[in-house]
Amino acid sequence: MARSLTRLASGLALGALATTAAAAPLTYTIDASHTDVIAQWNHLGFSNPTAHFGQVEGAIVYDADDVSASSVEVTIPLSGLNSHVARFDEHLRSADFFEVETFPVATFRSTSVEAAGEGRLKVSGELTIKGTTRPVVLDVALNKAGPHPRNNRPTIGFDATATVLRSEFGPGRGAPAVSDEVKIRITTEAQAESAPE
Amino acid sequence: MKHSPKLLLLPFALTLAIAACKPAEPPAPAADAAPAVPEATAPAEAPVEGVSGTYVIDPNHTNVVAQWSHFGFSNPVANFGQVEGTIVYDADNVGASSVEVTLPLSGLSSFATDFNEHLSSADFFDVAKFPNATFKSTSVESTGGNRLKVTGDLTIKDHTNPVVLDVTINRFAEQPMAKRAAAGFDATTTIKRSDFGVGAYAPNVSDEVQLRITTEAVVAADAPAAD
Repeated sequence: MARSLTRLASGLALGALATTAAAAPLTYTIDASHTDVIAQWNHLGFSNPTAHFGQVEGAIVYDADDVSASSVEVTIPLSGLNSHVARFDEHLRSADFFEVETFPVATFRSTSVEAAGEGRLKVSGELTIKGTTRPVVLDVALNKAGPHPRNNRPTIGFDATATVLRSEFGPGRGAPAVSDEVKIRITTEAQAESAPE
Repeated sequence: MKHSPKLLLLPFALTLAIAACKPAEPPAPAADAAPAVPEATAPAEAPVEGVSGTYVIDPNHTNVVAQWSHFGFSNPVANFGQVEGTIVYDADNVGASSVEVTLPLSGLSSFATDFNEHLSSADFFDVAKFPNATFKSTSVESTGGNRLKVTGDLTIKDHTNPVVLDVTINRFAEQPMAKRAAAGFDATTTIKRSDFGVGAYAPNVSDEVQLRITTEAVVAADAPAAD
């Protein structure tokens, strides 16, 4: 019964060419091939390199009418880590940094979501890297919500940013010449189940 | 040369400029979206003193990150790595500076293997026929506050068009490991990929692509000592 109510809500929302996501919380599955987590730091003051974490899995529960009922939970397999420099990838995976053999994933789980202005959210949550969990606040922008042109499924897209101190999670080597601060920028698309016919 | 802490202060406001969703409209162009990476540099408090030299780009500390909009939902990125090239910097006459780089498209990396293959195919970069992209500056001007405007010709496939890079000088100093003079820069520009023959699927996948470059370059080992 709940499922058909959710579908009804989705249908109504889509039928009205809704300018917001479906009313009532809807669960969107993250599309890993259109999701990227990009980390940036400063290298000796010269450059600002980036690395990205792909193959992100997870789900976003989003309620456009009551964003505080929203939540997000993601798992980031560190096998998806890519700095675009092979030797550096190996170094990052080693015990010097992420120790990927022992800690194959990082996770983020939201603890609260608040509205932060039009199309903006503040998502507080817990980030776990290398077995260490710390609170992180994401500044989130809702890019778009609506049917995906390819398959008509309800789709939402967000960008989010945060800054972390990598030493708080373990991989603090080389700081401060290589900055302790790491800026994180996330872009993601997520889709809910097919809309009703 | 002091390591400016301002380098670490990113203007977050830039990353939060997205308006509320409007699915009925075409997707917002990439220019409105959060940058691929937050702007890493703000003008330093004190001018960065330039050091003249011919600097060889370090491909392991150089990223060229492209970002576009995917149906207005997300803002994906791809990285052009293994960049080779040279920056000639004239501290006494910045206008006499120049930069020339080659981007081997074998170094192109998006977040998904099958997308890499698609990008390399004739649908996009046709890498088998056009293995490299190049940029060669035609003019360099100081625009104040450790910023430069670098105009040059960007060649992708068999299309050459002028682009203007908005450049920030990060640092001139001795590279602590190489123990030779080094320089670091960030640069941004926005291009229309259709101008370069890689316009497939626009405008749903945005035609506008933001490019953001960070680079370190070091004088060659056999170069005479600076100054």
